[in-house]
Amino acid sequence: MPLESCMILLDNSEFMRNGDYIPTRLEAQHDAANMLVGQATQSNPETTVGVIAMSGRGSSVAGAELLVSPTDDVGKILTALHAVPIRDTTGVDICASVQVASLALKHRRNKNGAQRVILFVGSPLGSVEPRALAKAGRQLKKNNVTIDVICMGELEGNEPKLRELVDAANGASAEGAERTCHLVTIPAGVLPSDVLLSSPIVHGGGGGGGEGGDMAAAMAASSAEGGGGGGGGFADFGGIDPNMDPELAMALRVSMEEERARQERVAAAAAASAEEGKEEEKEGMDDGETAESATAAATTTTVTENGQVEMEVSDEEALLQQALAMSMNENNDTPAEQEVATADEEGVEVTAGSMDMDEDEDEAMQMALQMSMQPDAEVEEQPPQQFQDPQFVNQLLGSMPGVDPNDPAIQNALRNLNQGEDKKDDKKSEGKDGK
Amino acid sequence: MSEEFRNNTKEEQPYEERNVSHEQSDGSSSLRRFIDFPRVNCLNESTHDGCKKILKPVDKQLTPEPYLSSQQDDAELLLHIPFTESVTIESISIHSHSTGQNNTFAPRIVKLFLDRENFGFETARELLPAATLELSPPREGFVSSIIDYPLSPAGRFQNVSLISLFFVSNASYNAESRTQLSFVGFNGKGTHAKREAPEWAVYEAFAHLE
Repeated sequence: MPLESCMILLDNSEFMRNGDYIPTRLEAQHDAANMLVGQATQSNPETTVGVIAMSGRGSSVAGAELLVSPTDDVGKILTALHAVPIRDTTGVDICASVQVASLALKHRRNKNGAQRVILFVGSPLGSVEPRALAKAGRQLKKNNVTIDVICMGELEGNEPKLRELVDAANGASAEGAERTCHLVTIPAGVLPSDVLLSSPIVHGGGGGGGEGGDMAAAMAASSAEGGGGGGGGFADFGGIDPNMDPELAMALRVSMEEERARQERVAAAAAASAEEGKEEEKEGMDDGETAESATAAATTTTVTENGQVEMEVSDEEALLQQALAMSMNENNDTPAEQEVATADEEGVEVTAGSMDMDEDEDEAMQMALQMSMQPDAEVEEQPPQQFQDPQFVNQLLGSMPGVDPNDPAIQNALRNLNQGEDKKDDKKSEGKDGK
Repeated sequence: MSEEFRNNTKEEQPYEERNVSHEQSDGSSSLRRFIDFPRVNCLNESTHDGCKKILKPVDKQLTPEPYLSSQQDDAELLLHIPFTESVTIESISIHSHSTGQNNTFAPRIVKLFLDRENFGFETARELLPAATLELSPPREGFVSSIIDYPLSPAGRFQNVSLISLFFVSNASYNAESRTQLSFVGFNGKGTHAKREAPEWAVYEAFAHLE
C-alpha cells in the first residue's frame, strides 16, 4: 500500500458485547484493527493512522469521538485501540462519524498521501436510511476519500445499506482509479483478521467492491488471486510492484538490461570465433561442449548422457562463450535448464533477480532473454557455415565498403578462424573416442 | 464546427477576444509545456484523469472532446495544476461547449488559488482567492476562437508554481446541475526557476572559515 492517511472507525456500542465472534465482537474488531494498523505502517513508514470511536461520550445519541488523530506512532495507536470502552448508546451514526473522519483527514500533516477510511460496523443500522448513506458516500467520493467497510454481525439488515454506501463512494464507474472502495462481510464465528488478510482491503486491489461471500472458498481463492494478481503484472520489473518499491524495481530492470547488453556483446565476440556455434548446430550439444573445452583452456567440462552440463568455473570468458553456445543451441530446451545455466554462470545480479521472482515470472523472463538472444543467434547461424569457405569470405569482405581484404588484421582473424576449426575437429574426434 | 475558419472581427465584449496564436503580441505564450502533468489532479471529476485531457495544446482548443465534467448533480470542481517551474501567468483561457442539455452547463464563477497544495472543497470555500473570474456564457452556434481572461493584479501571478481552479457555480445558478468544460489553457512566461528543496546538501558540524 502506498503512502496514505487512514482513519479507523470502531463500533463500540452495546451490540459489540455479542459473543458470536470469539471472544466478543469488540475483541475481534480490535484484533482486526490491530492487524490493519500493522499492515498499513509496515508497508510504508510514513503512513499515518488515526482512530475514532463511533459511540463517543457526551451524548445519549451516538456522537463520534476522535481518540487518536492521524499519526505514525504505532504505540499510541495500539494503546488507544485497546482502551476503547463499550458505551451505552442505541446505535452508531455512520454518516456523522464518516464526516468526522473526513474532517480529521482534512487536517492531516502530510497532504501527499491518499485519504482512507476503514469502517467497522457491528450494530444494526435500523434507523439509517440508505439515501443518507449514499449521500455520505458521494461526499467521500467528491473529496477523494476511499472507504473500506467491514461488516460484522447483523448481516442481513446491514449489508444492503452498506453496499449502497460503498457503491456511492466508488462512483458510477470504478474504472481507472487505482484503489476503490470495498465491502467485506465476515460471517459469525470466523476470525475477522484472517478474512481481512486475504481481502482486497489489505491488498489494495481494484475491481470494485469485493465481497466476503463464501468464506472458506473465498479465503483460498482470494489469497491465490491476491498473490497472483499482485505479482503477475510486473514481470518486466522482475516481479516487484514498481509502485511499492520503485528503486528496487529500477535496480532489477537495469541489471536485467545490463545482462542483456553483456550477452549481446559476448555474442558479438563469439561471432569472431564462430566455431562453437557452427559446430554445435551440426553435431549436437555433446560435441559442442567438448569442442569448447578444448578451446577454453582452463575449463573442465563433464558431459552427461542426457546433455546436462556441469561446469567448474575457472575461466569466466570461456563460461560466457559456453553459455552463449548453449543458448544458441537449445532453442528447444526447457527454460529451467537455461535458468540453471544462466544462474550459475552469469553472476550475482541476475541470480539475485531470479531469486526475487516467482516461478512464473522467472520462466517468462528466461523466455524473454532467450528470445532477445535469438536474433543474435540467428545472425550467427549463417556466418559460421559460410565462413568455412575462405574464398567466399574474401569475396564477402571485398564487397564491403571500406574493408580491404588484404588488410593484415583481417587476414589474421581469418587464419585464426580456420585454425580454430582444425583444432576443433581434432578435439572432436578425440572426444568421440574418449566416450 | 470548422476550425479552419478564423473570424477576425472584434466585437464589443467586456473581455478581449483575440485570435489565439502560439505567440501573443506581448510576448507571452502558452504555458502548457510547463505543466507537470503527472501531478495534475481534480476533485469531483466524473471520469478519472479527465482533468489532464482538457489541458489541450493550443491547436486543439476548440475540440469538444475530451471534456472534464463534474459528478452528476454537483456543480463544483476543484482543479489543481502544478508547474514544473515558476511561471508568470498573464491570462487564462477556459472554454466549454455545454449549453444546458442533460442538465450540464458551462462554468460561470471560477476562483483562483496560488501555490497551495492539495486542499479540499471546504478549504476552498473558506479561503480568500487570488482572483475571481466570471466567465462569459458559451455562445450558440459557430465558435471561432476562445476567450482569454487577463489576470490582474499582474504582480500576484508572478512566480507561481501551482494554480488551483475552483469552479464554484455554473451557468444554471443551480448547484444540483453538472458542470462541464472542454479546455483550460494558460498564457504567460516561464522563469526557469524551480521552487523546490535542494537535492544535495552537505552538512558541516563546524563552520570552516577561511
